[in-house]
Amino acid sequence: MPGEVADIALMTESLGLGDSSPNALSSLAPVIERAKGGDMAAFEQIIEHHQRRVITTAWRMLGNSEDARDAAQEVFLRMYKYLRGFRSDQDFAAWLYRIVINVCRDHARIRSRHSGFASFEVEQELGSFDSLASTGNIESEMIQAQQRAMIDQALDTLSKKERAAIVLRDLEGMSTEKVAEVLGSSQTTVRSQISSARAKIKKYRERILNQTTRMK
Amino acid sequence: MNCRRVQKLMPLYVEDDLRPALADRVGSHLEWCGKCNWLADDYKESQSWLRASTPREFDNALLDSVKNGALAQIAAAKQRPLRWAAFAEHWNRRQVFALSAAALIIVATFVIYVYQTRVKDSRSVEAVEKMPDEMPPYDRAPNLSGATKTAPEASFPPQRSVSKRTPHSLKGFARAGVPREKLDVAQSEAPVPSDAQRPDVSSDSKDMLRIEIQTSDPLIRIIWFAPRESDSPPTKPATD
Repeated sequence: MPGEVADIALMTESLGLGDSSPNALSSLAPVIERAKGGDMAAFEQIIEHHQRRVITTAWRMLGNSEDARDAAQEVFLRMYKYLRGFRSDQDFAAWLYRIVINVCRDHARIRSRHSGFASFEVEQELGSFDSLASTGNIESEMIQAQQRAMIDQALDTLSKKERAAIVLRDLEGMSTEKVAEVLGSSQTTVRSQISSARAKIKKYRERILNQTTRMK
Repeated sequence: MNCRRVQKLMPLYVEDDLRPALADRVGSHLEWCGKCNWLADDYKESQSWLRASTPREFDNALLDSVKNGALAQIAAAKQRPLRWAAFAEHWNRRQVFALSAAALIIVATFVIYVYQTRVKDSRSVEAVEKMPDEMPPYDRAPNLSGATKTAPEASFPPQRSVSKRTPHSLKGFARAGVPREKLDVAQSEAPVPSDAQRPDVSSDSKDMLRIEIQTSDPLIRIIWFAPRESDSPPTKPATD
């Protein structure tokens, strides 16, 4: 069983995005069918295959790893709950991304109700980047972490819909058509959201660059 | 295509999100417009900056915790009994049946009560609405011969609500067979006097003695007929 998962993972890695490619989907189809029939081993395979992408997307949407982990668990719980309703002719990746986006929206709503978001500094205080110390090149990792935090802050300037659209289109590399399918919007709406989001991100980057230039 | 329009389309142009025809027009504009070229470069850099950061690497321990957490939640959800099952744990089948029957009876009783109340009210309203405009005073001297003329029977259809209010002991009056054309049915909207049950004895008829008693209910008047010359007690009371 683990060998089968490794094969799928290897194949999808070689295909880049993998999840939405026809080959990967056709190889995953029997596993999904078995999972639909209540096979927990098959369901576990699907989790192992998608969990990295799910948690990364959730992290990009929510901006901190604690929320991303909780959201990922919720995603798989909902996936189990609604897998019987998944049709074979549907795109599984798009279907899963839709769950991810919905769960992240719910988490963001709850978070905004209770408190603000966990910023880069907060994550440092909580020790979320402890794992960085174990790696060899601490300096480059810290720069990467700082840049990720800046991008997270840039994404925070966007509305929820804009953030979802830009994460799926520019960071996950989905086509506009697929993004529209996942978000349940028209392509025109998605293009408008993407356009607005890119303009805001450019503006934010210019502001950051101006600040650093002044400091120097 | 002017600069303003190109600047508006630029965020989509840099990532090939425009329709080919529109992208060609923007491209041809960029061939000669330096300002828009600068803007295009800025957008490209911004997009590169956005994509440059590698996504956060999540270690296997975290991924395992996500997977195990999800599987544990699913297992817990499977073991969690449904609500009705939890309810059934505390009540056996017979008790559930008895409880359901009791609830059904209560609901049915309530529905019947509400229905009857509404029917009763509607009939009372209907009766009041059907009253003639000019009514003889309740204590008017009765005129047996003209009774049917002053208060035509047709204008007072039989009213169940009235007969229901008749005391049980007087129901025999209605069954006594007194011809209805000889009954003077009089109703009035005038306020009822305090001596509501004051008997009204009239002697217009030669062979019959008529006694009217107005009850506290303006809709009910008890009319008693008795043979004039006879000493026997009245045997044909009637109510209306």
